Amino acid sequence: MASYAALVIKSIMMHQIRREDQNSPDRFRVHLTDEPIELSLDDLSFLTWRFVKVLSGRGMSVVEDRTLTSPIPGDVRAIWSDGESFIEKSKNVARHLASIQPGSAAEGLLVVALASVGPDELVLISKVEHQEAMRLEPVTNQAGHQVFEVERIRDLVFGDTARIYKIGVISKGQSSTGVLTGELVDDQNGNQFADYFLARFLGMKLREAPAVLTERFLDTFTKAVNASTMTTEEKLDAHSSIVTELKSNSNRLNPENFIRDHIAHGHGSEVHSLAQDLGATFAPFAKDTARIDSHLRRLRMELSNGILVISPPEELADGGAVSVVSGPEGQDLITIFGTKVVSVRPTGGRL
Amino acid sequence: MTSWTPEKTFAEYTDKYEIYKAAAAGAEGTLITCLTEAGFGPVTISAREKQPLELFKKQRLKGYANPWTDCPDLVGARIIVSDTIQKSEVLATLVSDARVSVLEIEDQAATADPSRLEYRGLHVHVNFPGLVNSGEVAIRVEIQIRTTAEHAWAETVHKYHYKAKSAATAEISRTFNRLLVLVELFDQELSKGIEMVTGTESFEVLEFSRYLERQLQLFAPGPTDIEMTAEHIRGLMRSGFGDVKTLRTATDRYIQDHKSAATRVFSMHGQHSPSFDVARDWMFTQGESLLFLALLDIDLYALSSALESTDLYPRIEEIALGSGLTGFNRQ
Repeated sequence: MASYAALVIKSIMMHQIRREDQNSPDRFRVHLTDEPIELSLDDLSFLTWRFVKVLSGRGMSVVEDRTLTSPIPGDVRAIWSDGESFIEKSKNVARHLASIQPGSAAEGLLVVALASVGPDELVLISKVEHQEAMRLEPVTNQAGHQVFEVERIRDLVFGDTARIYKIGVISKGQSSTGVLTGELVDDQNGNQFADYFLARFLGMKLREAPAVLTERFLDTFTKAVNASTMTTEEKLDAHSSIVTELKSNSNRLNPENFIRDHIAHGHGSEVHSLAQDLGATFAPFAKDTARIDSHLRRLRMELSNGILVISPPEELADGGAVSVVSGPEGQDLITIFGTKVVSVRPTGGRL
Repeated sequence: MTSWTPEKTFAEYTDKYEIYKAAAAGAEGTLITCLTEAGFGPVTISAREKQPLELFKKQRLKGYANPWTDCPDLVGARIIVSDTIQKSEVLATLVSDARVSVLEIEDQAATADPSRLEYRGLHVHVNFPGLVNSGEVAIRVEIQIRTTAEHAWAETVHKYHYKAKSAATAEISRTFNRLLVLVELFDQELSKGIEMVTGTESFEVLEFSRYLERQLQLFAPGPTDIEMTAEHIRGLMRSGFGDVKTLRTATDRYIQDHKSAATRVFSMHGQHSPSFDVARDWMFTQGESLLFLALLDIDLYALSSALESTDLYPRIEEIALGSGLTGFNRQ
């Protein structure tokens, strides 16, 4: 998708998804509206900017999944072919969400918007969860004292926490082949309970499986780090960090955050550019190491004189048994501490 | 040899008046160009040609053998600066600029009697290559260089006080001339204050802020808030992004290497853009937006990490998002 900086929102329908009471057979009910929201220029600007911030750089590429039975793809096509149906189709979308949302899902606002980025027309479907906050108002009490009256507000919407947004953006331009295509922003995607939004609700699937994305991250970032102008120590740190990140307990991986947190200062943009040239994607994705688990057990360091150092990643990190420092005349000094040789055997070919 | 009677002088000058009028405009334009290129801030520059009747009356008084070379101010110019330091700097600029040929420097302060209260003007007599009269003789231009305080004094006295000697005017002259002490003290103290602040970091920051405002005019003309720019520059310096010199080098390099990219960004978000949204794009109307773009180009990740918990973060985030640089905001 082109940069969302040029996002223009043209028309917005909002419907509320409320939790039903315990005695009802339905878990959620909808409060539907009949006309697009009227916003002042200030408020439209606020809302647009909110979406720009949440969408920018965070969208995972998604495509229509025709094996699923969601009515959303048909509703989107109808909206594009018949502009008059926008209001009715938005209601369909809200009803569908209320019917398939798991009981553990939060209440919130369902937003269906017609938008554009440059010449590309978009349908934006978003569930926005409520946030809580407090409001203070100065008053004078009966004793004549200045005090604050406190009001707890439970249903604020469009706050600045990205996690509260699930947004599907379907692009007319990218859907020209007949298969609806777009992007999904959903911090919870990848957890089975939250997959309802992409598959059961939107009727779409990730263009690329998490395992593919994870493998691509390992491949492109490894090559990018090796090709960069970082020092040997910095490269080793980066490689250790790649492995650590992939082996961590987190079920999501954010390449942009990885660069920010683990690539040596001054080399972030360089590594980003190298990885991008190698085909890396930078939107966050659900991590799945199924295809690369065997690659994460050891790091292999190839020296210019044919010597190989193969080590668990943690031993190459700071404080590990293997120390690598830059030496004179462009050479690297490698020292292995606290161990002894237990065996030597002949071998040939790639280890 | 022609005898230039006042009448003959008047007739000849009237006939050639347009040449001198054009010369005045040319002199003014050249002076503005020279001083602007030399980096002078707001100075007032004006030039005018003598009117034919003025020359007639002057010729009656002075009887120039050759008024076309002897009259020093057929074309006169005036440069008004803020302080005496700028007076010297303007003079040095004119002397060194190839577009100005200095004939004579008349510095009355250098030759004045220190025991007398009198106005001490600084006049520079110059030619400008290409500004010639009908006889291909270079037209002499007299440039007065004054401070604002000197100009206020001179204009007031010129407006209200007649120079002819009399008992009454002697008292009035003394009253006006006493003010010259204050004018001199004012200019001296002003210069002293300027010297104290020049070279300090706060002045460097202010100068850099003004520089950024000037550079922004290349992309999105319009006024900026210099104080806000200065505050943002100080914030970057506190966060370890270098001194003013380092930041300026980064900005200059960015503008040089990425001018088309910057032009594209400001065509979308500058205040004259059809899609300008003041709530979203107001940071693009500030000069420091160029500095932010430069630092984002160098390493947006390091910038993000360093500024994450500062007030600068949301300001730069607006620039980053508006420019499509998604790596800046932590996700």
